[in-house]
Amino acid sequence: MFQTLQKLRVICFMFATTAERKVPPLPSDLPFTLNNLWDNPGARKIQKRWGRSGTRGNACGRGQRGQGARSGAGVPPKFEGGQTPLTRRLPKWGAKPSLEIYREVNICQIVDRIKQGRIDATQPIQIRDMLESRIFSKCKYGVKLLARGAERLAELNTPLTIEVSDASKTAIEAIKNAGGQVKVVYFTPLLLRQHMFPDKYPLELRQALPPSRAVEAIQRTEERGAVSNYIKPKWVIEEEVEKQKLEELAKLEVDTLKVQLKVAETVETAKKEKKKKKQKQQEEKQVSTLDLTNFKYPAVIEPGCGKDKIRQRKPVVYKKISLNID
Amino acid sequence: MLQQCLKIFRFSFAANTPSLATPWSLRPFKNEVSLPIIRFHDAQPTGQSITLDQEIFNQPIRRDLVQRLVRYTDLYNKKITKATLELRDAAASGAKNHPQKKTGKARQGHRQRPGRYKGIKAHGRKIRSLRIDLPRKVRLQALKVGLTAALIEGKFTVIDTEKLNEGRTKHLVQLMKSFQSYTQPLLIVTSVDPDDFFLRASSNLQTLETCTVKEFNIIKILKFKSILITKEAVLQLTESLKQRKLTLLGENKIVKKKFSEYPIEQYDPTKPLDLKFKVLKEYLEDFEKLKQEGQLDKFIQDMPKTKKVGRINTINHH
Repeated sequence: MFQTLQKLRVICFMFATTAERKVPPLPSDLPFTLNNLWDNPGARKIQKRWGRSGTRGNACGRGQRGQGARSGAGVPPKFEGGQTPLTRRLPKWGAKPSLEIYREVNICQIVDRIKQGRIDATQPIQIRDMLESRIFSKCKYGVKLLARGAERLAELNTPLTIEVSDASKTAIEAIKNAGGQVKVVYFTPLLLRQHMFPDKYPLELRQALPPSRAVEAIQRTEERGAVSNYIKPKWVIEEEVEKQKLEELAKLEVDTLKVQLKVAETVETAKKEKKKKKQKQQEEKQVSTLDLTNFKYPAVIEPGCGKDKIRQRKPVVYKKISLNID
Repeated sequence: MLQQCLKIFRFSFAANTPSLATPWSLRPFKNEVSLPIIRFHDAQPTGQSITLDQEIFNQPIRRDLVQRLVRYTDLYNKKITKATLELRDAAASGAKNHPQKKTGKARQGHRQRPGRYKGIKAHGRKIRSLRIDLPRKVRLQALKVGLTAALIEGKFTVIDTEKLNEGRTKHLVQLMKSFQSYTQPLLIVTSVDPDDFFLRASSNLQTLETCTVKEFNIIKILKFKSILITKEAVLQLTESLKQRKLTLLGENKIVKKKFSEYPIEQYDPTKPLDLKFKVLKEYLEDFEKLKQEGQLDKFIQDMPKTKKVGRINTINHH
């Protein structure tokens, strides 16, 4: 059996095309010594160089004489021979987005590491734990939580509490449905570095007060359902105080409005009943005292006024055309 | 047709016996391998055996990874130390020999330019290192592949200890004869702390090499046809390779504390001083001797008085 297979292999190789012969070599029985080692075919390729072989020799692809044939040759790509280049003909416009972007982390990455035992699910998960378990190797500005793999939260037994700088709506909903919580924390690059490498900072730095743009971003995540923990500036505190007052007033107003509505409803029903009674009495009176044989209200002004007006179509008059036949 | 035949060919090899011709998707050994432990003095087996870890000694065989590791280790310590001269190092000055025009000669700027008689070499050798890069995970996997291949070829024999009662080469040579490896080169792998007698006895032999677990290279695995390993070395090898994988996964990190959390020892006059440097210890001894003899005040008065605070002369005890 073995010898027939070996013969078949040789015959097939003879009748094979070049594409089939470029198959990687079979695993062989040669011993592992320093003269029996080779890399896969196609792993390394001989470099093409100028000045070797017929087509790449003589002038080596540079043409004859001129500025381009000299060493260190060439002009910058925006040079157009003296004509004002395109980068200077056109005006400047626009702005660029900032490069300080949050790093994206998905739920499936966290679930994998909890199952491997590299993250402790009983304690809150911080950015420091994500770095030690190598979800990412560098993080300068913060972390955003996204919801890829949110269905796999059901495989875990414990609810999660995660501390990040931003999160999406579906991620927050998925963690809430499993019984956990998402917290939003504000980090500057320096404070983040202290959080991740505490042995390099002998003195503790004080926490930062975020600017208005960052506060608005945190408030947007709070509307999605997260909990925040950061130092609040004055205008935020004043806004919250005003909000509370308005809510209390609205509650009171709502309470009074409800009462008023009830009162109004009862009043209206009572009024309606009174009206009906009055109408009945009036009809009875009118019927009893007056002669209503030829009484019409409203009185008739003319025959053919209002609804009883007799309407007639106007007659159709055709034009008279004179044909002078001469 | 060809690929169908190749499939049958491969499957027939990989099914029954472990061999070097297994494909990349299969492991050569079906079950765990256990080697018997042999006594070093008698070359006879004891009743014990040791099981080898499957994650190190039972990996699919890949010849290309081993070739890359061998090339990496060869070039790790190699460098080009000689360099040719350049124009700034040449023995001529940088002046122009003769002016550009109005001489009947060709124009030239440097006397020892390349292309001329006694000129320097253009684009010659430079001092550089020949190291290359290889990913750390590839290096680890190739080591494991080399160990499985050595196991299949039957190179390993496990020994209980390498200790000797005397540090003589005569005794070692007789032991090697019992292992039938006196003519062929042989390797003995020991633990991190080898025996002194063993090192002394084995230093002058040409056909025998010794190394510790940290120096156990892929080149040594492939070079020698028979390798003796001690029991401790096998355990240390498995631990070191496992820790190497965990560091690649990001664990086994040394936890560093803040500066304020390291305790500072306070001075207790009751305890004796423990100084780190030898010079300070000598100063302490001189001070205590003077105190016992009662010549401290005399020494302070006899000190040379200078405006600048210089070094204090040490005492000559002779």
